[in-house]
Parts: sequence; C-alpha cells; structure tokens
Amino acid sequence: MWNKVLVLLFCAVFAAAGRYYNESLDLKPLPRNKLLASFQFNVESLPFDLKYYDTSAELQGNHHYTYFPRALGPIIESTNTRELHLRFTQGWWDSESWGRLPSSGFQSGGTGVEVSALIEARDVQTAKANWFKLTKTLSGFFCASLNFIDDSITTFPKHAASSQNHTNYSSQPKNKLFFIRAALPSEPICTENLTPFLKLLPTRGKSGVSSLLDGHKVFDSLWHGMSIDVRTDCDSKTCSLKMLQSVNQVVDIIRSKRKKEEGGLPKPTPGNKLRCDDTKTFNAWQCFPLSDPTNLEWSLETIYGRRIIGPAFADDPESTVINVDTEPSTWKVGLSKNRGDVTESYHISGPKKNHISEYLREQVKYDFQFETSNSSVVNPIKAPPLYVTRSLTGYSQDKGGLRVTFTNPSDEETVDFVYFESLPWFMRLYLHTLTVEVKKDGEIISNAIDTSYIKDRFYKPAVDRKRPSHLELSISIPPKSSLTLTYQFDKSLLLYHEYPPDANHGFAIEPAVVTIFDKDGNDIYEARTTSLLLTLPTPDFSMPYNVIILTCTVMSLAFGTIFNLLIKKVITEEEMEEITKSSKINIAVAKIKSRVQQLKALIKPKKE
Amino acid sequence: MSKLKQVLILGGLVRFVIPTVLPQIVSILSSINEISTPVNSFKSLQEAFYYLRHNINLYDGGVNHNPPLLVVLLSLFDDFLPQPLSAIAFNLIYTLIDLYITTILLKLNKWYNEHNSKRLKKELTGFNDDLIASFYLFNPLIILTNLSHSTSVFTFLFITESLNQLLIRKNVWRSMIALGLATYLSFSPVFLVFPILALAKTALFKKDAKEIYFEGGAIFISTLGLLFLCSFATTASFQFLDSCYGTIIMFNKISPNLGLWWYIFTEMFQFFTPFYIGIFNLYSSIFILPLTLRLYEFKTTAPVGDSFLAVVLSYIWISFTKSYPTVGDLAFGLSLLPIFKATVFPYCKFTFIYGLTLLVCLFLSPIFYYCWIVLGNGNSNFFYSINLIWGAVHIFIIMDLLWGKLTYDYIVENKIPEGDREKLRLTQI
Repeated sequence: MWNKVLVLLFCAVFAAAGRYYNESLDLKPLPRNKLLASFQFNVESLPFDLKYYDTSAELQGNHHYTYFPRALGPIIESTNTRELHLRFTQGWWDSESWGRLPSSGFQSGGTGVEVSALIEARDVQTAKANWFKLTKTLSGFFCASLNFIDDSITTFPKHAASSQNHTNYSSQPKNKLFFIRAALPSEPICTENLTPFLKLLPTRGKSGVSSLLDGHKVFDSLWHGMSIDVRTDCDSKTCSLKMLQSVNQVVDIIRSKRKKEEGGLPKPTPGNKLRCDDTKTFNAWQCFPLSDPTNLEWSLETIYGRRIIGPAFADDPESTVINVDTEPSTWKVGLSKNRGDVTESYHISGPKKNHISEYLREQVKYDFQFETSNSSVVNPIKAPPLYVTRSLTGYSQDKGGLRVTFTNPSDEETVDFVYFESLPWFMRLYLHTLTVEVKKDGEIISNAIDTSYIKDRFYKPAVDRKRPSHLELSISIPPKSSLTLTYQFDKSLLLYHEYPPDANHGFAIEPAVVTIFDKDGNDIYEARTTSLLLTLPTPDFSMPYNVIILTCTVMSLAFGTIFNLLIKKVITEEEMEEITKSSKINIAVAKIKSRVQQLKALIKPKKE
Repeated sequence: MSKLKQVLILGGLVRFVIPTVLPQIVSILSSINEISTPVNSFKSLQEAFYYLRHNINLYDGGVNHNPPLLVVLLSLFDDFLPQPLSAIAFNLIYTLIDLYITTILLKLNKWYNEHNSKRLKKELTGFNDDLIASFYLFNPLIILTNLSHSTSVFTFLFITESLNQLLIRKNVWRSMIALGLATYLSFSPVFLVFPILALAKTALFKKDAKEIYFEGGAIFISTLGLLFLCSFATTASFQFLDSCYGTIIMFNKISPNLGLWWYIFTEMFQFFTPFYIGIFNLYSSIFILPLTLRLYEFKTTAPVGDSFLAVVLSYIWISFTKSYPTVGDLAFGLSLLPIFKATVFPYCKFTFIYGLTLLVCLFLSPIFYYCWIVLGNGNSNFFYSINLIWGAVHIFIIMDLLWGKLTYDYIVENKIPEGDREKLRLTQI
C-alpha cells in the first residue's frame, strides 16, 4: 500500500518537473564560418511565502527549492535580493556582420564581470550592506573578484536599469527597491567560473545540453557570455524564484575543425594542402591564399569534443530542445543517435524549413551534423537598432577625452535610448566641455547641445575614492543619422599602494550601456560599448625612502636657515673674532697648547 | 601720456586682448599644472557653473573646490550673458582686477617710502610709479596666471585690498574684512592675520595695541563666520567646508604641482600619512609669528624692524609651504619686493643667483613634466627634482631678504656712516 503511495508521489513530482526546469540549445550559423550557440537553462523554485529578512532575524532554512540551486537560494533570500543579474563576458561582438545580440542583448554583459541586483531594503544603508554581503558571497561562489566591489564602483542606475521593469514584484510597505550595479571590466573569465555555473544546474552538467559545456571549448571562442538572472515572481499569495542561466558563444568553425584534426598546437600547412588562388601566379614558390572554404561538414562533436548525453531528465519528454536556424537551400542538418555500439543517423532538415526544433527524448548520445554547400548563405541577419562606438582621445597621461558615436542605421525610425556610463573617480570629468554633433549623410546638421537630441540628462559627479561618476543621457537619434558626444577629463595621480602590480599596463574602464526603448517606454534592446584601457601617470615606484629624505632635507634646510637668522644676534666679523678668542674652548685649547710646548721644551734638551 | 598710463594701458591690453582674440588660451593655460591647480583652475570653476545650471550639488563631487559665494557670483556672468560675451566679461573682470591691484601697489610703494622716511628721518626714494606698475603688470608669471583665469587672482586682490584699507585708508575693520575674504577664497591667507595686525599697530600708531588686536581678530573671525553662514545659506549644507578647506588642509587632491608635498604623499606608506599631514600643516605656520615678532617695529629701540617686510616674508613663506602652489603665488610675492628698493633691497647679495635659479626652474619644470607625462622618456623624479629647486628658490629669497634686513638694521642701529657700509662684514652669533 505505502509503496503505491510513494510511487504515486514520485510520479506527481516528476510530472511537475517540466514546469520547473527546461533547457534549450539554439544553433545559428553566421557568415564567414561562425556559429552562434546559445544554451538556455530555465529553473524555477517551488512557490513559497516570501519574507523580508532583517539583519537581526535568523534565516529560516526550512523550505524546499526543488530544482532551484540550494546554494544560491539562501544567499538571495537573506540579502532580500529580488532580482540578480550576473554577467561574465569576454570578446567582441561584431554587430556589423553578426547583427543583433542573442536575446536582444539582455543576457550579454560588457567585457569582464557585471553584476546588478534589485534589493529590497528600508534605506540606502541597508541596501548597500546587503549588496556588499551579496557580492562577497557570490565572489566566493563563482571564484570571481566580486569581493572588490566597493563604494568606488557601485552605482544606482536611474533610467538604464536593465530589465528592472520585468519583475512584477512590489516591495512591502515601508520598504523600497534599490537597483544597484557594479562592473569589473578587467576580470578574466575562465573555467573556474564555468564550473560553479554548471553546479547550479539540476543536471550538474552530466546530462542534457549542459553535457556539452567544457571550459576548454566554451572559452575558445570569438565571443562568449555567461549570464545568470534570478527573478522573484509573485502571484497574490506566494512567490517563486525563477532563474535563467545562459551561455552564448560565437565559435569559429574552421578553428574548431583544425583543432579536432590537428590538435591544439597550430602547425604550418603542408604544401599539398595549401589552398591557392589559381587565377594568380601559382607555382612551387608562390601561392596567393584563398579565403576559408565554404563547403564544410561538421558536427557538434567537432566543436565540443563531446555528444549530448540524453535529455536533461529522462522522464520529462520536453525538458531538452535543440533549435537550429539554417538556410535550407544550402544546409543539411542530420541527427545521429548513439546507443553504445549502434549509431543511427537521419536528416532532420527539409526544404523551406528555416527553423528546426528537435526534442531529445531518448536516453542516447545525440550529435547534430551539419553539411553545407555554401556556408556563406545563412538565414538573414537582423541589424541591431543602433551602433555605438566609444574611444579615448588625447595622448598625454594627465588628461584626455572620450568620444562616443551612435549611429542609427534605420531608414525610417527614430531611436530613443539611454546611455549609461559610470567612470572611475580617477577620471575627473568636465561635463561643461560636452559637445554634441549630429551628422546625416556625412553633413553636420547640428552641433549645439540641443534638447531635441539629448532629451534628459542625469549626472552624479565622482567623489575621490568613494564614488564613481554616473552619467545617464536620454538621447534620440533621427533615422540615418549619427550623433557624436565628446567630453574631456583629467587623470588623477594615485597613491603608491593604489596602483596594481603592472601599473603601466593601464586601467580598464567599464563598458557603457545603451538601452533602447520603444515608443511605449519598454526596453527592447541592450548593447554595450567595449571597455577602454586608460593609462594614468605613474610615480617612480622605487622612490619612497628617497622622497622622504630629499623633501625633509629641503624642509629642514629652510627651517634651519631662517631659524638661525631670526634668533641670532648680528655682529661684525672683527667682534666675532674677539669673542671667539675669549671663549672657554679657546682658552682651554690655548692652555693645552702651552702645556705641549712645555713638554716639548723638556724633551728636547735631553736629546742634545 | 605719462609713462604710468602707457604701462597701465599696455598691461591691460595684454590681459584683455589676448584671451579675447584667442579664447582657447584660457583653457590651455588652466590645465597647465604650474599655473593652475585643481583647487583654483578656471576649468573647475566652469564645471561648477555647469553643476549650478543643472541643479547638481556643487560639493557632492571631486572637481569643484571653489567656495560657494565665488561660484554663485561669477556664475551670474555665465548665466546672463550669451557664450562669447560671457567669456569677454571674464576677460574684462580679470583685467580690471589686475589693474586695480597695480594701482594699490603704487599707493603701497608711496606709503612705504613716506613711512620709512619719517621713521629714519631721512628722505628715501623708491622706484617710480611706472616701474612699480611694470614689475607687476609685465611680470610674465602674473600675466600667465591672469590669462589662465585662475581664482587665485581674487585672493591677490583681497590681500592687496586688505593692505590698502589698512595703510592708505587707515581702517583696520575693512582691512580685516578683506583679509577674511581672501581667507575664505583660498584658506592660506589666514596666516597673514598676524603680520597684518602687527602692521596695523605700526600704521595706526595712535591707537592702543590691545584694542587693534582684539578688534582686528574679532572682525576677521566674524567676517569668516558670516561668509560661512552665507555659504551655508546658498548651498544648504556645510559640505563646502570639507571640499574647499578640507582639501587644502588634508592634502588629498594629489596631482603633480610645484609643491613639496604631492610626491611625498604619493610615495608615502599609508601608515605615515596622517603624521606627515600634521607636520606639513605645522610647518606652514611655524615661521609666521617669529617673523612677525622679529621684524616688529618696537617703539623703544632704534628705528629697526619692518612690519611690512614681515607681511611680505610671511606671504613668501606661505607660498613655499602651501598645499597647492602655483607660479603666480611666488610671482605676486616678487612683485611686492621692488617696494623695498630704498631700504632692504640694496643689501640683498644673492638676487642674481636666485634669479637664475628661478629661471632655470621655470624653463625645466614644463620640459621635465612633458618628458614624464607625454613622452614617457623621463619619470616623475625629474619633475620632482624641480620641485625641490623651486623650494630652494623660496628659501634663498627669504634668507636673502632677511639677511638684507638684518644688515640694514645693524647699520641703522649703529649709525654706520655711508662710506663704511661697503666694508662692513657681518656675521651672527
């Protein structure tokens, strides 16, 4: 009897599993033999009664998270974090040829690590305390330098609060929601960040699409981004935590193939394998290389070195789905299932099938094979709504400038967006030098600071060592135009101990965030500029002792001279000689001299 | 046209026409570290105007260190005049200030010679007016400071105005109000209160000494108090105290300048910093009272001492030890020296040497800075070495003036006849 009940209970839990966990892998070939792979993992906790935790109250650890990671849940609850966004990104997204960022850019951070959170608190101090507690814990959890987040890089974004309006959570009375953000642009992303990321998944990276993820392969890409988004979703009574984890990467297929065939170390191509241009001079000594081949054959195993081990959960037929976006006229997609020693393959692509969805249902090893006659023909790339570039100007180490250019590629639509930039305190911004230049078809149509382009601005200046500068500009650009902002800053000299070990390498400046809004004020796209490398003036690091000595010498020289002049009496040199003659020492010296003379006189007669 | 008028017109034209014709010169000069510092640069003043226009708290940031009343008053020109006109208005203001300072220097020169002629019962003739005016108006360092629109020009104005009120108008109250304003603008003139009060006793010999000191001190403190309250009223917080004066006292805006201290704090182990901040603050005030007392014009003795010289020496000492020195600070002190032509100056032996040292300093400082910051083929030690020499120039000047004064006092006290003065060889014990 009890057995039956238990079996029924288990069945009930597993039936609900589909609701609480699903994962997908989207594969999209890009031009020039690149592949965009995006892994998405959705996890949801059981509904529970959300409480506001005071610092004094003990955290009650009595509820069940099911698929939601047990490691993350208590951290989020004890710091009253209602939303958490964590981004690890490296590389450069080439929006000119790859188009829009995956998920409209909401999962992609700027270079380095970026973390933002929506924290419920009574006041700013409590919110900050919780924020630092959160980042310090996450630091240990993800092996990232998040513990270096302090007041000097923390900002409270106003408009550009990415995905702030996505949550339907409203705070308890008396409490407020604080959106806090910080970024560490110089943080490298590597395997030690991926391992804890996989550990958060209920599959632990052992089955489903996550079984493909291997540090060596994920980080060997042109651009990659890992993201973790936790949201609190509430209905009238209970709340649940929803987590979306994602890994997006752009893989160079040619490179992956070469590594698979030749191993990790690149070798010189042997003569018979050189791809030469026949139309040009071509003999044993001369070869004009052709560009990469376009008829390719590769599979997921080529790229990841592994196959997908079954679905995430064998009993949930819809937990794992693979989506492939290819152009059917030139691409053929095959699926192979490996059961121990039997391999079964068949084509899943068909004519006019731009989008293929395939659920993994069997407990076998899956592999997807791609065969293309012309890899440069891919599904159309959608251009992003806005291009943005940011660069440093100036050449000296004591001052410089920033130049940001926004280009609206659209023919008809005006783009409204918010430009968010937080710069470290050692860049002393002079916003009165801000100039705006609007160009259309290469002609300057306006260079005045005009409210028709910059609608609104929010600026909070930096405080030395305590706060970064925080600039938000609400800008609107007419179609087919570009807008350029320039402004100047001074660079501060830091203290000896504030310089990092390689001070002359420069300081990474965090990417600026552009959030694009539609006409109703909803954010529809998010993009980031690249990070910048700023060189600061450096002192000579070998000098501390010498500086103290030399400065103090000059100071005591001044003191001694003036002190003497002020307190001593002025006399002539003749008087001085007189006085010295009658001084005690001189009398004593004279006595000794006369005594010596006497002694000499005594000795000399004896010799004669 | 008299020579004086020619000098004044030419000096005025240089200050007005150059920045009007070449407006970018102001921004270029205001970012040269020898001429303006983060504390007094026109750049940060303009940034403060920007904050005011956009309703940003003036002192909630690390750029503006100018006191609120100055910012608010000057921003009126910026707000009510359209762009090119407001720049011209500033050129005009700065030109007029320098011309006004010159006219006061002329009066001070006249007063000094009359005063000392009376004391020594002998006719003293100083430099002509046109020369005194040219020493100030054509001093390249003063011109550069003026063209950079550095706010220390206002400090110079109020220091000279304080002397003007005291010595020419014979009014201690107004003198102390002017000094209060100077202190309000840049803190370091606070030390001048002692030598100027001592000078007040000399200038107003009829009044009781205690009365002068008491009244003067009280007026000075209440002026400052009033200014702080007004500033509090305009900004609704006392944050400006930390931003304007805390920065000066705590030496925390570290950027390369001519002072001795920036490099020591950059290189210092954090542990020692508070100790050295204390030392530097003590050091900058240590010789004010001794100088004042040593050069005090006591009634009882022979006509020795020179309270006016005490003011000038104290000023040069402040320029040596202040936290954000510029070339303008020393140049202003040097422009006061021609006044002593008939008394101390003939006994200064090393003018040539320190004149050359000063020139070398002025030539090498920008070169070394450029090598360090732009070319990267020199390092900070090059520039720092010039800081040390810049300090040495100050020591030379103070030492030479003081020794000149002591020699002169010896001559006056012992009534050495004109012919023997050349042969006189003095020493100290």
